[in-house]
Amino acid sequence: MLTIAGLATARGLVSGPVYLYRGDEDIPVSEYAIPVGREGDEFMRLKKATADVGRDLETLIGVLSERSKDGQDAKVFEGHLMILEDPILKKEIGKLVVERRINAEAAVKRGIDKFRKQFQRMNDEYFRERVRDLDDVERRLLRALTGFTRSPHLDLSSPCIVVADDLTPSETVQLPRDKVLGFATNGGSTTSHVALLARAMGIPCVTGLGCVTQKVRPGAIVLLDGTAGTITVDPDEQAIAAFEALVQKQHESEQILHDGKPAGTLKDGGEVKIFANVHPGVPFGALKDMGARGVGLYRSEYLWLNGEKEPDEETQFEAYKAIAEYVRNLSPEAHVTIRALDIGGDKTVRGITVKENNPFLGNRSIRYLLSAKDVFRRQLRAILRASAFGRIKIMYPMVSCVEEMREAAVVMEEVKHELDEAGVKYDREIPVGAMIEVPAAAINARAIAKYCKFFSIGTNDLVQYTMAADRSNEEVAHLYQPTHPAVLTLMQHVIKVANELQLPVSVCGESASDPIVGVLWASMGTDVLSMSATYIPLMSKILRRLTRSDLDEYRELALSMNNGETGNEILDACRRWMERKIPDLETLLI
Amino acid sequence: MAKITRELTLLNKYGMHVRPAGLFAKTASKYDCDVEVEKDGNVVAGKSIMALMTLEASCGSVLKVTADGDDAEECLDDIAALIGRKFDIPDEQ
Repeated sequence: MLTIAGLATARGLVSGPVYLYRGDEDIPVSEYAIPVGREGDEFMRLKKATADVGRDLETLIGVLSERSKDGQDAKVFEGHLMILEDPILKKEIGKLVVERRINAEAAVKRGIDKFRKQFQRMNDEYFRERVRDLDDVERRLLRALTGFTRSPHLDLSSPCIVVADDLTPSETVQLPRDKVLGFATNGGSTTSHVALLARAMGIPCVTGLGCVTQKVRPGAIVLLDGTAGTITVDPDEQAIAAFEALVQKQHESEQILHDGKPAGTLKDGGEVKIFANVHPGVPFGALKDMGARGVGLYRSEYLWLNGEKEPDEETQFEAYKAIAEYVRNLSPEAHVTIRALDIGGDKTVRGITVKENNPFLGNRSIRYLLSAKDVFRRQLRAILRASAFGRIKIMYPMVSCVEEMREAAVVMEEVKHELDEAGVKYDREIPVGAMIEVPAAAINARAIAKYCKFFSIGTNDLVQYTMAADRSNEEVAHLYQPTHPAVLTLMQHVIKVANELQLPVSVCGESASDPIVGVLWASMGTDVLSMSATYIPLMSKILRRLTRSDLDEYRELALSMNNGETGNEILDACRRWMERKIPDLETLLI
Repeated sequence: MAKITRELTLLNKYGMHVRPAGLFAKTASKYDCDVEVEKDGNVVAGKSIMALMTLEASCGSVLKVTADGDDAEECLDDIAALIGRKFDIPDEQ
């Protein structure tokens, strides 16, 4: 028996056999000649990719050596790093680019092929197998150069726990939902795409496990605890019994929800509206059972990411119409808030997004849409047409200034005019909102408010931009603090402006589902918390134990702490308050 | 300038696979001298993990290690010690 600890990424307990998903399909590489005079640029591209891969490996090695006592896990990747930096291999590939003017991808493949052939000719099987290390380094380099993402060829005949190095968004959503019990990955963080999707799909997930793919055999039985963030391989009877007891406990704590009151009801009868975040491609039929009162975030970009190209207007229309019709069952006031194409940053689509030096500060989201108006227009047409079938709101992601809202409004008017001309029905009063996730927009919320009907605060990006820290970079992830005083100040300001202007304001970042932080946002006056459906029962259980005046007390506690306290100290104080108020909090969190 | 050759026998269980080759290359690279390794007539660069792995040297293989340069002596001492310690790999002692 072996228990490996990783990051608790999507809650839930599950046990079953392992499906080992190896991303070892060939990455297609075409070879072409580099024009004379450009070989220097191509060489720099190769050098940059090599440096990027080196940095990734170093990060991985750092994390792994901290985690295990003997550092065995890290050693594999130390070997890969040495192969990457091997002087002979480097020279061989560099020469192909500089002297023979072959593109970097093909040069990598040729350079590595030369060694691969030598390995394949070896008599000793143990040595022949070392070719896998070469393959791995090659794959990393080619991925860095091409941005290639794998397409899954998963052949799951019975339900399994998928164990993989890492999974891209498109791989994750293409997996058969009814056959995937859980996810366990070597890499990733609690906010990586596999994490968001696992939560959206309600599938327990543990990430950041390091070498889990090398520690399990296909078919081995594992216990996956997405709440504690552990995976146990080949559990003994005792471990299985303890696990089953935990499952039973979770089941019991869920019972308190079956009292007929809607999700988000407070102890004194008040309520906090809880909506669901939805990914296209993920079935949404269970939203009602989970207690969602509406859909606060429909991530339309996954229509692009799943297919890896722009979906035509009809495809989009069908998707938007389906969710609009569905939400009518959720509650009388239910609506779906469709987020316009939120692309760029770490969400890349081949043929649409281009490589940028600083993608998170680049041509993302509404900026992209305003620079590609035909794409924007097609999406607006599809959304407007769907608005005839259910209540839809639309919001623009990454708004940073008033100009963008004005320009988007012009496009919206043009599209409405087109539809009028064609006699197509749609909701003429469709509410348009702004996502507040750029600090400039938060500070300037009062001006932005003049151009919209609601705010939706995207805390993932707002925290990342306020702290200037990439949430997925393990080296700086400690700076990513949703309860940092600067973040709280911005949140308070935005919510206050919205409340004063009677503009509905929701929070749709992952922090909304966090029992400590999400409750804080609710206490500060947000109208809606929107989260992955899996987390709705958990949030409901917590809110069911608190009264409106508890929430006031909680808010005062957090906001009064701005005298040199750190974000983590504020978070700790909040947690202690919550533990005092709800003595059995730990049981609820299972 | 000194050019020295020593015959060293691999003692660790799995021979010159990724980590031993990496440690060998890393050790050799600390010195200015040129390092070459010969096994069964194959001669490869001693500062390259890839080249060393292609030797297909398993436990018990005899490597002819040649160092050429001012610090050849220290370099070979260091390499010989590394091989003697079975590359400090716990599972292969």
